[in-house]
Amino acid sequence: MTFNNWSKPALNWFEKNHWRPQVFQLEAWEAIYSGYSGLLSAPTGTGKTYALLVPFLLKGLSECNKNSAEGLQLIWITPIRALAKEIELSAQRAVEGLGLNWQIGIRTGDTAQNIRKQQLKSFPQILITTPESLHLLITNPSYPQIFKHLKGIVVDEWHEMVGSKRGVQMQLALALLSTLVPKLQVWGISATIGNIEEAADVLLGTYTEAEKRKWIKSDIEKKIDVHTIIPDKVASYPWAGHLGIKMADKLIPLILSSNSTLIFTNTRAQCEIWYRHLLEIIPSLAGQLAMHHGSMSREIRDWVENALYQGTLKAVVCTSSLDLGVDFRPVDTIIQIGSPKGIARFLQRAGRSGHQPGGLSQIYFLPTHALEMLEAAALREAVAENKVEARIPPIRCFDVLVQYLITRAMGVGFKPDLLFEEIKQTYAFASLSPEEWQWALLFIRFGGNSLQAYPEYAKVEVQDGIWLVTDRLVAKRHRLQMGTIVSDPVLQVKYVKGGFLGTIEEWFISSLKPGEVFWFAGQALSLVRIKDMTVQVRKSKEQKGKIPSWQGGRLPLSSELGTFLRNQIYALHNHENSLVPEIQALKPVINIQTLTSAIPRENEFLIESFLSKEGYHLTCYPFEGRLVHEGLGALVAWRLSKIKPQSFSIAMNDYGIEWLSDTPIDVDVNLLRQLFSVEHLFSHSRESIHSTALASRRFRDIATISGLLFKGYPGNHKKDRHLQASGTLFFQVFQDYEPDNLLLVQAYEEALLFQMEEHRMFDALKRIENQQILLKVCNKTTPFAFPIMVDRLREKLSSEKLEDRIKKMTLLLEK
Amino acid sequence: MISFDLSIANTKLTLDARKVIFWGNTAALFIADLHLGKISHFRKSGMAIPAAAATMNLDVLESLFIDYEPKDCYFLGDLFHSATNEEWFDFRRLCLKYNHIHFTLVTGNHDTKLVKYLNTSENDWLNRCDTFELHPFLLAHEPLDKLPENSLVGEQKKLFRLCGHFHPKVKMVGMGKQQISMPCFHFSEHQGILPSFGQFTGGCFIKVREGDRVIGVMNDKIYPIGLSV
Repeated sequence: MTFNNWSKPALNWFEKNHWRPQVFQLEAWEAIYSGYSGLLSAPTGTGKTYALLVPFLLKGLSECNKNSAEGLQLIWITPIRALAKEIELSAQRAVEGLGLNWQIGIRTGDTAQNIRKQQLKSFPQILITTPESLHLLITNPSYPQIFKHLKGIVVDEWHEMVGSKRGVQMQLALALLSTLVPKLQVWGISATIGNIEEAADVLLGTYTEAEKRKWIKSDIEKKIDVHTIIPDKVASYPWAGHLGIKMADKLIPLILSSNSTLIFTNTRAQCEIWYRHLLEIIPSLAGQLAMHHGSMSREIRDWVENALYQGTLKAVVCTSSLDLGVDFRPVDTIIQIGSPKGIARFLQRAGRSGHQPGGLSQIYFLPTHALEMLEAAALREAVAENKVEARIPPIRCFDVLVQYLITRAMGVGFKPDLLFEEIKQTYAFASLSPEEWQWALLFIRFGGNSLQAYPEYAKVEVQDGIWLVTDRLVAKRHRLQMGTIVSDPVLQVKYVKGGFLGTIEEWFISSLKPGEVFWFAGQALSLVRIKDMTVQVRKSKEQKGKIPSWQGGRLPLSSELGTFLRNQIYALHNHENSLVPEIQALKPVINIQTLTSAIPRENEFLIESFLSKEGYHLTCYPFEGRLVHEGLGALVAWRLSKIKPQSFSIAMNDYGIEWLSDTPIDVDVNLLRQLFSVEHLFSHSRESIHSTALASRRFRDIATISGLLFKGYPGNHKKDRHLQASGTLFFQVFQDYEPDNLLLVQAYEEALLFQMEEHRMFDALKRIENQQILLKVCNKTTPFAFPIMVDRLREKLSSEKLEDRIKKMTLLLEK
Repeated sequence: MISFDLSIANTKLTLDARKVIFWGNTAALFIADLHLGKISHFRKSGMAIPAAAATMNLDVLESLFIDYEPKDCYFLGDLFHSATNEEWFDFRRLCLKYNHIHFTLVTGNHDTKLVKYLNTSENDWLNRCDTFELHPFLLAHEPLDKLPENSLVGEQKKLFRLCGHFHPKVKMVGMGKQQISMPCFHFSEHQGILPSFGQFTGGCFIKVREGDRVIGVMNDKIYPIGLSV
């Protein structure tokens, strides 16, 4: 059948709806008609779903003459459950429109047990699912039958997964499916990212044929208007802080004059605080203002999303939980509070407004401290140049590998030789060596790299060359542990009379006494008791209460945005720029910085030193983002500590680094040259990682993903207590007894690659080598230094003898 | 420094960096919270902690028997983590090798499940009791703060309590936001708490009051810590 004849039914259906297929849609249809795999890059709301869904329906139509096809034909992967429903509706419309007799099923963490069971009996032709649920399906012994007739798999929002371990999980599943079904067509959909071609390579591995690949781009661009909300008096605007609540009044006219507004905050705590504050200052919003974050119950979030969709809400205060998801057509204004940290995220959020084709996206940026004003100017320039970050794909994740080996040992078991060949087809494990493979096999079988003293450990048995999990307990625990997203231990928040509100972290709730009031999901709640894994609460009439915060989730500034920001700093010397509104507003702060220290020029690298009550400070400003600064901070402290025994406490933010010591930090320009030298970076950064807690923190997630740490059964809190130990303890034990364990090695590699971002550190040091060092001895804290010093998170590094350190220390007495 | 002498109740106790106390007067060794089998227990549940960490405990124990040549060895509770396993049998083999030492277990909360097993004849070599009076000391598992005052009868009130259970750790602060924390011995007016002997056991930060003595242990060394008032 020719392509024209083949695609006729779809064209007819489009015509009936008065739609016209776009060029990229037709390209995608033809590519799938011709058996290609590939990647489609298109922004949301431009018809990407029908670009890839329709051709698979057409295949069904031509191959089985409208009769219901046998078994599962197409898998549609979505990274977030909330999108599944919308895709189901689109698919339903297309299936009906083309007159196919196909079933569509959703299988995610929200799917009821009876529906899952029903699906196993008679599988729908189209399955919409998440990477995690797909992996769970692989633990079912009937999976080879389920996937037997599969024609294609589409991975939606691939840009969200490619840079994370979920992406690695996805690749492993794709390798399996492609092995089961040799002609399987693998497709991905991605928004624009800096390394889109690499993203395609990661998706397609070597399990798809090299000659049968296409990269299709839509040429649709969205127009974005960026506005900055400028405080009336910058002089009194705080030098540090991340809440921005002081400028809340400025949002009133924006919210009131818009149809519907999304207000993005960077953390869940900030979200709670802003929601309360907005209700206080605009009482008329009661009933029309909602909040949305990842720790609120699915039910409440669904309600909010639905109300947004229906247009019954005036505004929603949210976090990244609304970055992705269904299109809310009534939304016409976006407000970003505080730095979005990256250009892509800013664009994505801006794109949540103005969904009509050719619609204009409006985004307002509210700086939460004075210097963030510069970020506003940087963002506007970045948007104009449309420069978007790359997402570095993780490789050689042994934690994901050992988890996957257990997964595969569950279903029908595996033969190591065959599985090795299959896994090596993925981008993430292309370089896996036979020795490393042997290690992974020994690890899941014996819990270590040799037959050690005690044989209790046995997850997997080998029967006739097939590796199998036979123990039901092992299987049960593994199903609970699967996945690559690691979160802190959480407790469920419920009303005494029932009704689930969401989850809260254990460390926060354990700081409260019964009767104390806290704010959660926009409600004042009084703590009644904590029972098992549940926090029982009652509604409270009190206005004051603690606001919970959640660990982690602080994103670092991207290097792309950092570059734009540095340029803004250098440009402060350029008088033409003084007319830019943000820079004009910032004038008072710039003046203080110039008076107390200096504003660096493009060929200068500013370093400040000063003394305070706390001790001796040294600060510098590479503008490379928190993570790179963490690496640089450790590196320079390590190099300093080699010169003489000294102890450092290191703080950093997205702009700079501070070293603090109880003894003077003796530096001059020559020494600083050496401290920031790119020479021996490779070995020095490795040494410095060993003297900080960077790798240890990485190890916690690795230990959880690989099944080393067991988080316990839900609702079975106490019983599992004797099986719990902290990640730090694990790290120490491995360090002492199994230093060559590949999971431990991975922790160091990850710290270098993702924490320190070694390549970025290299680039930053190279740049600094070409700059002049501008060492300023200051009398007091500068506007640049202040926001770093108030940061709570600190790294430590010491080369002093423990005895000597203890001599200088004191014990805190109980009062 | 690998050991430190402390004068308590008019007698001398030797605090060893291996997290034990040796009382030279009667050649008695005090050890708290061995948590035998914890590592095997984790491994049995599919958590692949290096098994070598388990044998390490016993190697250290043997070095203590050789260095101090104790007549008595008192385990101040939580000898076991959960159930008996290979680690226990290795431990028993080691103790029987040094059968001139009298072994006594002061039962701790983790041990109660095994009391029945410990009372069988194959475990005759290990005396068992809930508290043990060894003048001027009272050996117990749990520190005093956690027990109601009236649970102590007559004489016991006057004895100096040596116990474990708490896995004490100490945190120190200094200029320039410096911080150190480590396991420690914690001596207050009426009792001394030993650090946990077992590898791979966590800890709790202690609350220090005026007059307390705190001796930290880290990297096989012992550090008496000065108090600021």
